[in-house]
Amino acid sequence: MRDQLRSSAANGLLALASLVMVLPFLWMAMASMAPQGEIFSGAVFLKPSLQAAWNNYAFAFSRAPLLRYMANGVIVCLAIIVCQIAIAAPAGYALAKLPFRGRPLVFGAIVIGLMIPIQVPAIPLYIGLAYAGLLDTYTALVLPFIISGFAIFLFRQFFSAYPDEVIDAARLDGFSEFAIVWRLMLPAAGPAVAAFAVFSFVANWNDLYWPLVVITRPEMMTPPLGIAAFRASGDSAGNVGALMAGGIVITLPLVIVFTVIQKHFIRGMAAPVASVSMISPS
Amino acid sequence: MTPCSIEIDAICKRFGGHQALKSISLAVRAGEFVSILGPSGCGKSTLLRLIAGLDDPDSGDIRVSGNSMASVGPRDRGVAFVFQNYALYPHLSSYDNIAAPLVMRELNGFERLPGARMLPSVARKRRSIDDRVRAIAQMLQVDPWLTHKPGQLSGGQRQRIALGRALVREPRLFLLDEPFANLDAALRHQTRAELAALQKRLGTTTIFVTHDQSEAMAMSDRIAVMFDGTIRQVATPDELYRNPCDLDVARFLSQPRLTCMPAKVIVEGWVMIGGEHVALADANMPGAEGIAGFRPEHATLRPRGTQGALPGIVERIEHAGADVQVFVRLAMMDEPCIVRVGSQELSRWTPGTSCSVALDAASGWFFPRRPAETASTRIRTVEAA
Amino acid sequence: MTRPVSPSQRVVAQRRAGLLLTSPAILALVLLLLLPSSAVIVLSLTDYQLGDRAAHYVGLANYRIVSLDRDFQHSVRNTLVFVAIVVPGSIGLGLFFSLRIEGRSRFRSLYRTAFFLPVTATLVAMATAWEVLLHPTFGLVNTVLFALGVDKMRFLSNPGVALFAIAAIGIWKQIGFNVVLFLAGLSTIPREIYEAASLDGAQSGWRRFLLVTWPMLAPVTLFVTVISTIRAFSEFDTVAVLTDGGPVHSTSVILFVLYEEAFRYLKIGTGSAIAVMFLVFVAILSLVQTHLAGRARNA
Repeated sequence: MRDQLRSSAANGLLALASLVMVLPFLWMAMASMAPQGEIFSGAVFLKPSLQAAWNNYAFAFSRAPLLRYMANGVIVCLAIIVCQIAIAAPAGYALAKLPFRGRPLVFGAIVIGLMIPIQVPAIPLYIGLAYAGLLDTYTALVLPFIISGFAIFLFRQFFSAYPDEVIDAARLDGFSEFAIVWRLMLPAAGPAVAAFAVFSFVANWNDLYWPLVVITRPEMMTPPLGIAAFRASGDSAGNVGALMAGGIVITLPLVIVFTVIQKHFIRGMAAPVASVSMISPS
Repeated sequence: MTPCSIEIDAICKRFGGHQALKSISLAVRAGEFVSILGPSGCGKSTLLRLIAGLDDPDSGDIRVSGNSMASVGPRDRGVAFVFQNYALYPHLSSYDNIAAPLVMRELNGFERLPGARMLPSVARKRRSIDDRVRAIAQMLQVDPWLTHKPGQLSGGQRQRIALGRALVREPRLFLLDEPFANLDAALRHQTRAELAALQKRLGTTTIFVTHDQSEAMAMSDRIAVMFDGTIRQVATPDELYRNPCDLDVARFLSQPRLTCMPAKVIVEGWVMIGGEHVALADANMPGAEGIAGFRPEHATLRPRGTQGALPGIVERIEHAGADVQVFVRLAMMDEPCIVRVGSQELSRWTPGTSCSVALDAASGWFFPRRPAETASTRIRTVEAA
Repeated sequence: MTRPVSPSQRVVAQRRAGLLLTSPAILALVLLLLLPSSAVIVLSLTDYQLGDRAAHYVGLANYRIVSLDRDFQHSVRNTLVFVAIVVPGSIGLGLFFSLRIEGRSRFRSLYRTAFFLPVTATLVAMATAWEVLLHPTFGLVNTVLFALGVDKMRFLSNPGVALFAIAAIGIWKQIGFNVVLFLAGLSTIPREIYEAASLDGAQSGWRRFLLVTWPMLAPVTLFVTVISTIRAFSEFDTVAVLTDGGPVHSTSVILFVLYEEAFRYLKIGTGSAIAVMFLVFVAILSLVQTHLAGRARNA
């Protein structure tokens, strides 16, 4: 009896916590469709209206180039993912399956790279990009992220499990080592590639620090930087409904994609994340 | 491609502290089907991988049609390999699996791009590949599964696709590593016969690794028996069956088991086993001690007290199809000996019956005791030096 | 007798392929990560200014300036407070809720989705939502608090409260990530062990947790701790968007000070010194983790 009571109390707590978790999303969605007066009425439930929704979204799209921000985000994130995979897949294969001199050294360097956050090399990278005249460009947004120690580690783990005999068969069939990576390993690593792509996309889509450093021109801004700029500028003019509308626009795509694929993603990510936790000095 | 001959010349291979191959030499004639037979861990798969170029020997040389392979990579040896677990490309359809060796060899990186088919020269090459893949598929009767991926196929179907992938580029040398190990018994017999017939028809030089003596016996022109990194005997199946060179080989080739008894040669053609004088033509070194061995089919059961036969008691009886194997407990022997008996005689021998076992003097063997310990010591000192 | 064989064409080809296939990664790693990270150490020892052609070695002067700077001292203190709240908070709550979710069959994926949403959402956008929810007069949180008889609070403009409000948002953001990792860890514990523990007399859920779950989750917990700590230490977005480090420096954290010093005031030398100190802390954390992970596995 007491156990039952305690259990239902805990479950009530779980439900309440879940509500707190989604509250900002719900509230953001409601506020984006509510008139200004309603938002600051202190009411718990906002009454959405079509007219207010139209006003808020139209205001957001007219004052902030939201579509441009989104396009920038997509371009930058896709470019980063492509580069990361193009660099990490061959390296992961070589580290998993090819005995070559200096392999422990390379692996050690990658583990060290895994530990360095972007804020550390940021100053010299900024100076370098400034001298190269590359500030306010896609190159500046993409370049620092094309090397992902996490991706190399993930691919190495995944490829290690690939049967050696199939690789031997491929060598006999005339596959070059390069062809083995692109035609055998990468297709077989589909789930890992997908999980990593989503992981990378989310991380880079949401990043604020680096775009804030290298981007000043509005037309080069990524979604978070754009929203931050919209919020800080006089353009939003205290129009919270429009600000919420902008937030919904840049957040919703990722949230929807995630809700749909979360099961696969969580499964795909939990394993490599757990394996990264097993790195040991070797 | 014309079949090739192979000379394996004093190959040694060591993995860490383990000497996997100890100076292996073997010559295979063009078009020949040679089995390498031995228990698991004897080094036979290692030898096959060295021939394919998937590993390198520590010393020694492999020549194909007289040319040393030391500086030839695996893809240029003209070798096809069928792996025990088939090693099919899991994400490719059966068709693409079979086509892979042709696509990778005959099309360059640009021509492999999906759009390149538009070019007439590439389209011609693709057609030629398609013709050959379909021909092989027809020959192996795998047409219905060409669109399936390996994961959707049964073991037997996968094995055929793997054979197709090996055959499609008309190799000059065909290497098979226990290709039937993952098939059930009925399928194994059928596939075995088909593969042997196919090899005869194509005339491709073939080396076949197996631990199953009946498989080796059924298919091979010659069999090389391997133990512990060395080849003990190379012979035709018939020769090997009749005349194994030592006790290990004789034991390995006996179904279900070779009966071994300590024996001493008295005069030429006669040995003393457990107090009985027994005729044994193979015993030709008077005074030598060793092991007398015979197969179940080389002994007969007689009534108790028969001269020159070994007295014993029937312990149990196992039915094996047309024949019956009678386990007889002999005096002073640890293990029962096995005698094969026609099923019509069975009524005479029930468990507990006294009997005696008469050996066929012409078929049994005598293996003189080898100084095994000194032999291994010698090898060790050679390595140390 | 037998002649030794020199490295075959296969071995040579594989060695060459190994180097060739890793060379883009090595090149990028060196040029984009290792070299700039070394450069930041060098810069921290100079008086370099953006546009200068040369720089002078100034020893540890930048470190002295930074460590004596009140703003920097504040930011270190704020960061440590932030970490001390967010790490135990997100781990404790993450573990608690993952255990509750694990035990349920109904609504399981619904709960998981709810907890995971903040992980994927753009923090900048969500921070603006929080800002309105925390509004001193009209915000939903204050409305609820008022209904419960608590005075309304100026969450983001009261120097005594702002850091805690930012930390609460930090927990909200991090908790789902930890829940997912704990759920992954829990799914690897075989049911039989719980049954065996019940037979051995661990009847209550709490006993079973102490006997089975907690020890079996140790590696995951370690990993979650390190990840949460590094993430908490790297707090930037919420502060930059909502408080700009204020009020009166009460929410300025290390990365915010680093950003301001290096990229707003373009003080390269002192900015680099802060970056190096940040690196040292993260490196220590990582080393502690690899050390503990290695020991846990050898044990």
